[in-house]
Amino acid sequence: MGVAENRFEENVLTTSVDWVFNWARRSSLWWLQFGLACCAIEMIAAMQPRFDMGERFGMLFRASPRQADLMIVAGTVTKKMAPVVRTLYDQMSEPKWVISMGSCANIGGPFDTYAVVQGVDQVIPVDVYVPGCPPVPEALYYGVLELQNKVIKYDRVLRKEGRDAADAQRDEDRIATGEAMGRPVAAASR
Amino acid sequence: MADQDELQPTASPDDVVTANEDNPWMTEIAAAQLTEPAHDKTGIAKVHPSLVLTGFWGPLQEDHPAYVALTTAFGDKVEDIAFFRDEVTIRVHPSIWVDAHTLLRDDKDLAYRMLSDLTAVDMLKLRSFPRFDIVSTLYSIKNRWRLRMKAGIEDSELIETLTSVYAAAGWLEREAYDMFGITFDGHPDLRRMLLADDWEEGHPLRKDYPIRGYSQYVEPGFEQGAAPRVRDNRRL
Amino acid sequence: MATTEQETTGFGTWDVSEERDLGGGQREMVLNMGPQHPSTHGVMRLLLTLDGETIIHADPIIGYLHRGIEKIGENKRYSQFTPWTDRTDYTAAPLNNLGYILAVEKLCGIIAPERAQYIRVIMAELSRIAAHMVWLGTHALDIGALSMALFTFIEREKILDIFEEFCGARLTTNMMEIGGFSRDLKPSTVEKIEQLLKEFPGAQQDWEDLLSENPIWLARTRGVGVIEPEAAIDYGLTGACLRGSGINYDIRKAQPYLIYDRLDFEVPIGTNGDVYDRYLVRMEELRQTLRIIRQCLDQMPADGPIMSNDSNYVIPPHDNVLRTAEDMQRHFVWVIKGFSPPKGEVYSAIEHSKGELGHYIVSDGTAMPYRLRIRTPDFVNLQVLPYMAEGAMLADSVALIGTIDIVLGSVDR
Repeated sequence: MGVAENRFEENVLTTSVDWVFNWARRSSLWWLQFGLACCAIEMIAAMQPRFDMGERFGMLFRASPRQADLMIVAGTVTKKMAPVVRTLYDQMSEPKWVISMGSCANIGGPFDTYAVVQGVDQVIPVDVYVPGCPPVPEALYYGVLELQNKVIKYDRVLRKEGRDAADAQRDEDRIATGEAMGRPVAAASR
Repeated sequence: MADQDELQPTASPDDVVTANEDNPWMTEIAAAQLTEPAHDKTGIAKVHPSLVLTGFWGPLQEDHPAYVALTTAFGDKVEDIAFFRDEVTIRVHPSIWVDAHTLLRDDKDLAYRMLSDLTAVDMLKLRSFPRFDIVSTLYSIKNRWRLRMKAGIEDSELIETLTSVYAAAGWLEREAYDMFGITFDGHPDLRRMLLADDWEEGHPLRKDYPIRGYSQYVEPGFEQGAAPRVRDNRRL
Repeated sequence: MATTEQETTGFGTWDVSEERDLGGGQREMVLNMGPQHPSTHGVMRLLLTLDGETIIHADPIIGYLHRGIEKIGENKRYSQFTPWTDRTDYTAAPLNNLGYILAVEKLCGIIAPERAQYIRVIMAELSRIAAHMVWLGTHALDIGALSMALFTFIEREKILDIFEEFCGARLTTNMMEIGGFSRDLKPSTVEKIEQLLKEFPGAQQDWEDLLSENPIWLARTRGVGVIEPEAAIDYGLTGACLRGSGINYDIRKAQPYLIYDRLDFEVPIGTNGDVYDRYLVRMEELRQTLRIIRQCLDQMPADGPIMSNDSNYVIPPHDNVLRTAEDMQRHFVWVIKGFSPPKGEVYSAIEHSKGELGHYIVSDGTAMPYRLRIRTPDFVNLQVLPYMAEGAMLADSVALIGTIDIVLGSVDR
């Protein structure tokens, strides 16, 4: 799926080139302007001057799914809305990522009723879950940073297998990302 | 359609308290406001007087002008008048539902020209017959009074629509149809509103409808097994 | 997803744009706007029937955020339900808390102590400002004044900071309790409010300098979306939509609740009933709101109880729970069983930032409401949209949506 894929002979790995592309993707995630409920207000607040998420992370909101890399599902997904969310996700071009923002999008939140889908991951695959009802803008920051750690690894060659290895890889990547951004990150103790 | 006097309150907005003193049922409001609630040692609280003596719903007596006007016009079809706190509820027979509202709206003295709310209550657990109460809350800008009207209907019964009286009834009745399955006879656009237009699972605010509905959402194509909850990009 | 698949899913159809040939050179187009559209203020969908650029008919389709809050209310005890009221109109959560709490208190027959009433008014009016900030920012953004949202959200953050310091949450505050408050207003919070009162008029003057005489703003708003006074009453409009048409109806004046009858403020009234008048009405409301907060800070008793001492309906204070056996037992019963108000029904209306917010509660004497109806202002206000849109231009549709000031959580519940 990398940009440089299939342009070379077999047995040529394009890891560094992919890293550059992934670095570019990570640094300019354009997200789909798509608010559903309460969390959308906090998402807008995160975008506005005080928190200024857009400028800080090179993120730009687009009204069209065709131009977006990232969908932030901010709010309650109802049964009436679920097919629309799915269609929007299908219209986004690869590579694409999804942040599920807030308890409603994660697991249905306080609305365990006839009308609400209990978690947007029943409709579309989710990369990062941000808890909170609604999450404060700082929590959304953290979700975006986690997603950036995930984007930088997009389509890399796997060297390790298994859940523990993936977690170790995640920590390693976080430290590497922190160093690349010029600040040391302590390894998580577990 | 209506002269301008009816659209404006009779008192100016700055002298609310003095305007209340003109009305005999409002005289005690100033004294009653914000005193400590009556409270005896047994712990049984009494109703605070400022919640009863507001006069926001007109006099709390049998000679409430709206009740008098309705009984004069319709006689026995006006079934009951009830008081709770400061509120007035008039129960009418469903056959005069529209006529009663028309009278209340067009009466020069009452002028209940605004339909604040229209909804229904499923009385399934409280009484055997009739099943639903249609409840409308009216407001008179002129008198600054509210009024609640009620009519009881059975499950399969039709009730005539209020859209010819109040334009506000259009969406409120659609919502009542959606949530309770009450059919309003003559409504120009009676279809599902809050739920999807092809929702097939009944009417959720009925008392016999489970809060979680009858089925969970299943992603199309995954009826047999669960959809993947997390995507791992590294496995692509 | 193809259209045929949609029809079999059972969750609604939305892809219905089409072009119809009426014959004789006449054509009309059905345009689908939403539910994902930047200027529908959420997940509303508009079906516009167009003749060229002119709107023949607009059909708002709502319910994409219907979560069944009224059904939840029938399954929760009275004191448990306040978090859901936050989430009906999430731009002004304290006002929703207030509407519900006042309805329950009326049902129980209790009122809050005086100091708590003043704090309630202060918090409610602050959230009215916060809601108007969201309205002004997004409404101006839709019409083309892109920078307005940046300015208004700066001021809004200050109000959210006050909320955060007072109750711990920014947006969904859940700050009001049956009987009053459990935490008092801190002196530092009062300082922040005083600071806001000083800074806000200057900021508001900046916005009005940018908008009120801006020729583009005037062209987009003057004479657009006119609502006649009779129609406004007929459609049951409340709030700025009604007052913009020249009808004097503000519940804080007409049927005062809490301590509003002690406060000196004015109700702004429009004359033409167009988008511009409603804008002016709301901007003047902001000034009056600041006056109200100023008076509340001055009049508020410096000390005194902030929680009603009614032992039937109010949770006992924490200190007493730890010290006395009776209050510990009452606390246990209150938490486990809740309280049972008398049988009856109440309708309690307050002036929300968008209009009349009414809560109609039917009690059957048990710890849970038998029926909890939330009459939200923007649900009723939104149905005037087809009336306004008929004959308007397509580009005006976003101005018309913005001027009603809808929040879809409140419309759909």
